[in-house]
Amino acid sequence: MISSKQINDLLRSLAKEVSNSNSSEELETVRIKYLGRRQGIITNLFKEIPKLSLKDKKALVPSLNSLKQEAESSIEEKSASLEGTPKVSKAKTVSSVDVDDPTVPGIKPQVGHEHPTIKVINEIKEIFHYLGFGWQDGPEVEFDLYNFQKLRLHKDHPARDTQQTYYLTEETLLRTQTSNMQIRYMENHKPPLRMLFPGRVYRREQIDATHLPSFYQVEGLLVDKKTTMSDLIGVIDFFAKKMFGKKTKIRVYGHHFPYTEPSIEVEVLHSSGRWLEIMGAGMVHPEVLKNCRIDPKVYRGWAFGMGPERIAMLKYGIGDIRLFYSNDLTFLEQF
Amino acid sequence: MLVPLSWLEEFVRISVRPEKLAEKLLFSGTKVEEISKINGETVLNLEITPNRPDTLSIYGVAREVAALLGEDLKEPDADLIAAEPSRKPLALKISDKKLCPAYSVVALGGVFVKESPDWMKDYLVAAGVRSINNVVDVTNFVMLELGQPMHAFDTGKIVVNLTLRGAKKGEKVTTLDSIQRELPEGAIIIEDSEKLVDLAGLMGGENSEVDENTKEILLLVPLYDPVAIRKASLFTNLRTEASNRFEKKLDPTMHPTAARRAVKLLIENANARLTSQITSFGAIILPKTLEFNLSLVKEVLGITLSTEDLINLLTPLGFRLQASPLHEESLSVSVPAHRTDIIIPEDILEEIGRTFGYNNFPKTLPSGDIPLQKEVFEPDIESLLRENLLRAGFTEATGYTLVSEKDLTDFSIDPENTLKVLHPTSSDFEYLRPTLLINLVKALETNSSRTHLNFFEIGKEFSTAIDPSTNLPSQKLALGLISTNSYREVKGVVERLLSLFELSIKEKIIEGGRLWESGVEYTNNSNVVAKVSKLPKNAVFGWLNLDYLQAVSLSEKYTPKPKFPPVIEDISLFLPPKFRLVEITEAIKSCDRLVFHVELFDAFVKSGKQSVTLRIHYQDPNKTLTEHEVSTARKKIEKTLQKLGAGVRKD
Repeated sequence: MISSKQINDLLRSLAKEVSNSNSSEELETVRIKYLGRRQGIITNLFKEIPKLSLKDKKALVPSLNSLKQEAESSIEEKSASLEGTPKVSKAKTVSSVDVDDPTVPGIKPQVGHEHPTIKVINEIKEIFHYLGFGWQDGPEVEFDLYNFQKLRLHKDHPARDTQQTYYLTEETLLRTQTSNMQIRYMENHKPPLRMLFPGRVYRREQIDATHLPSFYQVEGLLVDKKTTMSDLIGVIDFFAKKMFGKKTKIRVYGHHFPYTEPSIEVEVLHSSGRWLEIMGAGMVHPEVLKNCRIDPKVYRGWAFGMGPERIAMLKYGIGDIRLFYSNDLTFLEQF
Repeated sequence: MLVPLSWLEEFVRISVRPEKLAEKLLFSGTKVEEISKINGETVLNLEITPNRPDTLSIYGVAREVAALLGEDLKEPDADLIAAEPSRKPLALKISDKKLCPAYSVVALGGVFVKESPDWMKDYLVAAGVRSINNVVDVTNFVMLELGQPMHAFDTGKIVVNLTLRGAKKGEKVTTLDSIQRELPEGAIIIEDSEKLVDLAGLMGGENSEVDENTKEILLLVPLYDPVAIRKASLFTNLRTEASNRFEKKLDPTMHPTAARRAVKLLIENANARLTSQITSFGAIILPKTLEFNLSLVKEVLGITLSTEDLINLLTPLGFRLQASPLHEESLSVSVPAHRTDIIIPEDILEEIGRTFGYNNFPKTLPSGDIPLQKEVFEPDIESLLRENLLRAGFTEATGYTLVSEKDLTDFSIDPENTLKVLHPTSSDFEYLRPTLLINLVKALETNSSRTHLNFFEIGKEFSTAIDPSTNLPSQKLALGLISTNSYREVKGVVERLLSLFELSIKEKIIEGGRLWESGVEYTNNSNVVAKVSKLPKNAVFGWLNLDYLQAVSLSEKYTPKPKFPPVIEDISLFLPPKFRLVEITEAIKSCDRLVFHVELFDAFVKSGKQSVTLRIHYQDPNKTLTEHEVSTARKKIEKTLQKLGAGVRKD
């Protein structure tokens, strides 16, 4: 009959034998000895359970269960730690199989994969580089002043509702847009300016297939003595054709952002036949220029902002934004 | 905002299909998110941007639609047949004009409170508002129709003398939903001589609520200070249809019309009769006029339009254009009262752009010079490192910058010393990651069914320390990499990355810290530039200080192949206990100028002692080495090794 002493002894001998195993083969012998389906010591103990009295069952079954669990997990852990050596040899075995048949499947090389978000950001950089744009990033923990106030979003502005914000203190927050960099850049540079501001932004939102608490954004800014809304629309059209193919159609309509006037939004015609929004844009509001010590009587500017994850979703047909942060190789190795 | 189509049609003839109407609205800046059917009624769901409170009403949307379709707009029906009594309504004392700059007020009697007629209930339901009773429904109906919220008090529950004032800190009021709410300082409230009766602009007080016994009502149709309303709304976490309108700049001339419209509906549907004048207070609003320079159209929009074109685009929206008395090249544009968002000439440009249609704009490219800002000349080290890591078989990961308390404690990081957000939505996203390691380890766990895992991430690491250059918490750019390859392989990757930079690297051992802080550390002029640490379960973590490396020049030098042949010799030795290899190789290198390179060729443990074979490259850049020179150098090395206690193995 099973006794709790017997279980304790088994626990001890098992631990010892597992730790003494120096190869996967040895470990496998240990596994079969204890957990083998026909004659494993622990397996056999389980077979005896029906013969136990109700009282013994109550007393012993829980410890039997934990013995089995302990056996499984310790073997698994040891097997992981042994992997170092056999891992290499395993790989060698596979690649050294040499079948005299030209249709033998090829072996995939070990390569690194780009992250689709970063890949898209790099494509955006390259497209705009062609038009003379540089890029820069800066603080993600930012003052309210740079994320909102200098962009005409004062503390009581209703438009703040559309950008649910993580605050750290009353005056510092996680930036909700990379526009903070537009402000910082304009404050420190003399026009003409052509810059992209890629980086992480944060919104206090519940996570779902289209919303994340943090994601990437790319904003662009041009400030010059002469530039117009038709330049902005021309540049966006160029961008869309480079990003999605030269036959891509865009459509533009009026919108509202406190920091641009006039403001627009842009949609591309997706292969599904639906128009899908890709960015917001507009002529920089004269007050914003003034807040950055640029004379709005001399200079005009335009700016745009887009989400690279969203662009990647449209481009590759990805349905769930959470995948971008899953770090799951079945997803990443497709890029 | 939900707009039932037949309600809209009471103000404007709609000659196009709903889908076409939606497209026209979209292009002009009012996005239709959805067209749905509610009880057989077609309902448009509009996204109204915060600058356009004038379109937060059926009438306001009709005004836009009329302009878009070139149709006439019907005025709201506010004609009263009954004569107004001369009696003044109950006086409202306003302590601060700023809180309520204008209002209309009227008293009604003989009210019979019951259910609203079906047509009104249907409209309300289609617009997403619950029907309560005929009196409350009229106030909601007129708010939805004209965009002007209002409130009906049961006069029988009010003890004379109403005062409107800013709340004092900590004052409390019980609103219609039976919730007692604490008010922030400055929230607008109305009190009678005994009690608070209204949380103005948000929700009425329970104690003056209209119910089935109500016979007399006081209807207040006010304009409130948007900032005070918004502050109260945020503080009490209460958002209502009324507060959503009051917190924006409403049409200051709408309240008298809205009052009359409501009175008319109350007479028709609640048996009410006027018991006072309809009295309006507030300064007279003169139409705003803007000086608009015609050249702006070309300069800002990049399109060419004649004055006549502008008149045709803007007049249907209610603007009046006249030749400016001041400048020949200017127009004097008078702004309709409901367009409280039009303040500067650029706002008029937006009206022109959206009605002209952005899809009719030419597509041009910027003509100015390409700027040569200093950033153009800085190397893009992120891309450089990324490319090198991809080539080395590393996959790029991106993890959440926000992590949980458990994520921190799993790595023995004290949450108390970690940057934290004030009101997390979930405990999963509460702290700003102090190390990239957290997400990289998760990446290994996610893919634990596989072998040969190599990940890297470039991102910020946060700490509570304040960075004196920005006065913000420290947020430094770093590169983290994790791998299930051997320690030496990962170390090789880190060293390869460092070799891309012009650095004079010193390697030293760091012990006793947290797991990922123990291992080797690479410094350049005592600045830490990289680390490599062994983790449990055969993983290795590498870290590069990009914040520092960004300011380091790239190593872009070519070393020509030596003209004279090197001499290569192997030397085998036992390492003295507790001795580190780096100390031996550094010692060998400093023995003789001819020692060009030392590499580890082989290592094994023999009779409990660590044995290593080092391959030594001797090289003279100027001539071929002689046997004598090499043996002299070799002797120096052997002597040095002996001193260090590293016996040369002769076997």
